[in-house]
Amino acid sequence: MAQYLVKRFAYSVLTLFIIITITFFLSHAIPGGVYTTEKPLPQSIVNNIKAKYGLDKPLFQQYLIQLNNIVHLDFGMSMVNEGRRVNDIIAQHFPKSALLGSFSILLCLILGIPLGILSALKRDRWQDNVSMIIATIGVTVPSFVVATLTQYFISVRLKWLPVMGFTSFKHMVLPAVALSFFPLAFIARLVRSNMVEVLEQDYIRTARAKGLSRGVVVFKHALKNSIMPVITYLGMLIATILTGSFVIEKIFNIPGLGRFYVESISNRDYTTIMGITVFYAAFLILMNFVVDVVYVLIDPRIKLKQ
Amino acid sequence: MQLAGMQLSDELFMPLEKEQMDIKKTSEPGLTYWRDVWRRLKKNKVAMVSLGIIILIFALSIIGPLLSPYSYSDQLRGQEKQWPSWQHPMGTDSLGRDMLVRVLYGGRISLSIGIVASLINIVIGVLYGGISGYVGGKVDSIMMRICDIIYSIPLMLYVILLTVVLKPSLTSLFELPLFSAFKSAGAGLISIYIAIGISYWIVTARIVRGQILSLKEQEYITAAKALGAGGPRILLRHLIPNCIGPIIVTTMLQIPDAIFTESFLSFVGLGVDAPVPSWGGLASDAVGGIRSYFYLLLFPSLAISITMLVFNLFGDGLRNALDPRIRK
Amino acid sequence: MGKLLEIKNLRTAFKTYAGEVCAVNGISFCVSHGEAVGIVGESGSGKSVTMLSVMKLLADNGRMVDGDILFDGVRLNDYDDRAMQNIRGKSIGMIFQDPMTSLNPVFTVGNQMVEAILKHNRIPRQQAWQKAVDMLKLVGIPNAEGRMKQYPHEFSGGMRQRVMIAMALSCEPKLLIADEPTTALDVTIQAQIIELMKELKNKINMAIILITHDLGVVADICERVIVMYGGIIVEQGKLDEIFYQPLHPYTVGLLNSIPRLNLGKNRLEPIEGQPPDMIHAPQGCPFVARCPRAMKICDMAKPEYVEPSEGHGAACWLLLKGHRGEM
Repeated sequence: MAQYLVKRFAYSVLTLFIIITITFFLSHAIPGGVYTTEKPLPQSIVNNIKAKYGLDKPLFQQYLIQLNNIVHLDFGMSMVNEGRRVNDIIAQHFPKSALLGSFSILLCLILGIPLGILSALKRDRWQDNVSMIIATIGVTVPSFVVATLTQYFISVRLKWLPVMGFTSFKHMVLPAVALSFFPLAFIARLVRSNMVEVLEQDYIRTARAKGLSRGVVVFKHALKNSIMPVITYLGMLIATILTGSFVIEKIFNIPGLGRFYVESISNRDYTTIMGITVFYAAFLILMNFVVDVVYVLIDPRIKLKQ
Repeated sequence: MQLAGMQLSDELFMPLEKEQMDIKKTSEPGLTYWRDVWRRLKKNKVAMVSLGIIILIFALSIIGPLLSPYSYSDQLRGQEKQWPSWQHPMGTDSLGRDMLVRVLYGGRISLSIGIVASLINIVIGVLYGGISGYVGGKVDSIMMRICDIIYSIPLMLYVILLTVVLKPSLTSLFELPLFSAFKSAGAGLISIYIAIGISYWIVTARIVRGQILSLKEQEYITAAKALGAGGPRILLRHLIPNCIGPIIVTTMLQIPDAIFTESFLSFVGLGVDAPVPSWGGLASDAVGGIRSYFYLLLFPSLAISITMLVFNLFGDGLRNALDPRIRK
Repeated sequence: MGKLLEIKNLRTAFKTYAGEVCAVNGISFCVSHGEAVGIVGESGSGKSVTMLSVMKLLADNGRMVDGDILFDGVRLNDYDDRAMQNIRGKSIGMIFQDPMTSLNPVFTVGNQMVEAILKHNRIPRQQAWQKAVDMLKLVGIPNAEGRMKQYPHEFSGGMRQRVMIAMALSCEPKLLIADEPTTALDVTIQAQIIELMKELKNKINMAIILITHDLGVVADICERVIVMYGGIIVEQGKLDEIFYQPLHPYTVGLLNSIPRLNLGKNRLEPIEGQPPDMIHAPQGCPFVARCPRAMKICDMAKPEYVEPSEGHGAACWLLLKGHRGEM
């Protein structure tokens, strides 16, 4: 098992390296930059800016510098927000995104899994149909539409919850619902189809042939097997919540990293785009690694393979 | 003993004639694979209704804008921000543009994104997965490792990065006389085609590889090899056609995903160039004005959701029809 | 010997896309205490469905349409699922074809054995655990204590089937239903499992119903044989009667299609053609299309089951041909 984890870890590092490389060369392939403004700036000023951010050096040298900086966890200065280090931006804004994200993930799991089980057990009956209709809506309506509509009806019209901002738990409810809408529906469908499949397995018949009650068969023998795939989905879930935060934070005016990322894209803030992308990638790779470890710990079948 | 009213005569105990038996031994001829698929698909009402709606959506998007008295960019002075009426069934936007024609035209753009991006996906995915599965061994494991690496990062990040890079690059490229033909399509749209197209092929590649791996062990491939067919020929003539089913299903599910991704990009500010509408662009434009102009968000969102829904339902139905084992 | 299991005119149907299809179409037989009965037939002949009907473990789309099932003098038809739970595992143990998929992969073998014992016995967990260890020893699993803590995937196919047998026998059932217990195993392992079942049958006085398509396996442990085809019993009788005086052409065909060294024959004779499509069930004898001795009447009506001698009978028009006058 240790060998497996070391191998997985090595792949994670390799992945991260490739992503840094791609990000670097992609962001430097953009014609123009911060110095491209409405009115062309004098060449001397452009040169100054280039020198300040090291853009005058050969590309490959810039790349090495960048790599070295990242190894030292330094993402450099923001090009647009004068005087702010990208590290500081991440440190300031990411915790808010992380808080909202964790809450959304919790919501997905504690609602999505029971919904899926209920559907599978009441297969083709009204409980199943209702849950699956909800789940289908969940995967077909874009999250920003959900966010806008709930914000409008629940906050603006009914005034049940605050419209914008991020200062209390109440502020978190609607954004979390909007963020978790799609993955929640996805998990419900995933659990349902797994449960339906697991219930047709031979070992379920064995359990029934032993005289176990339906309850034990479902909640002991079927449940653990049907939940396994949800653990594999966790990595994707975190990624979905993370990308979802780009739009949701904008709509609810939450000072998280997602909103900042989107802003830096429209401002063509190279260093910030680069820094946040690498940070996101590293974060997700780490999360995937953690999920893998958890999976190995839970599924007995994997232990022997490596 | 009576049998259905007739007496049991000696005649009945004569041997059954041989010809009669031979006919019986060979059971009735099986339907061909695709006719069987179509027969099963036709029985699935949900899938058939979805297919009908898909065709309707395509027809409306293609023909609709031609029949409308307005064009998607016509700004009608004095008719700004009108609620739906007979004259403008979906109302008008803040610049006085007819929303119906914009939604219909947006359908063209969004559907084209879905289709073009999926086609690029298929080509890359099929080739990548096909080569990986067919060559096998070290090449396969390296190629699949690359897939794993790409897969571990949300594709949205790549798409955003690619669009960020491609849009200005293409804009300057289209200024050149050689590529000026593309200018009318808009750098935004083309960069979305490419960005989505080259990001989402992993799923297709994996499916194709899996199919090829299991297929290439089968006898008819050995037979083809024995007849002297070369590698590329086996891959193209024998293996890939047998993966068509899963490929079609993946595509059916990727089209709505691409439309979804585009709406997301529009919201982030990386959508198609104004004034060309797309469903995502229309919806994200409307988000700001939701308090007063609810209908501006309603129609494009409905269009996205219905399209997502029918493609998904049809894709599911098709998958069940292609794989009879899932049949209830 | 009294009757342990009595099945009368059982009919079981499944809902399919082509409507309701009868997989078992009116079969009757008995199993006595301590008797070993083999049910032989090709896949799709309805053998497994018959046994699943007894256990009331049919898939959701299947149901018993008609017939009576009497077990130890009790009519199981009237039992609901809760009542059946006290029959399953306790009075009737069942083992299945594929030991690789019949054990839950995410629980230890010990866990799965103990839960069955605890379900049917009011004993402390410790004692149940010991009982499970004893059972594993009984079925010849070395290092039973250590094996209890392992997961199914750490066992070989043969070992898993031994675990399945141990589990099925852990509550000392009166009847063991073995649904093709050796089909998925290697030939050498098959022999071991059959040997084990034979041995256990003598040790514990229980009846066995062995479902198989392998007449060789039947010859090894069974006293009586039931031959099924197309959802009906085409022939049943004592082992010797079936092997040396088969009545039904299908039984003859089955016997000709197994290799036998002592007969000096050097050609196997396969039964031509395919089993009938149950969706378009034939109106006559289900075997008519493949029968080398088919007569006109075979295609028109189903033959009734008759017993020319006590306990040995078949459903075939050939038997009725000579006796027409008497009926």
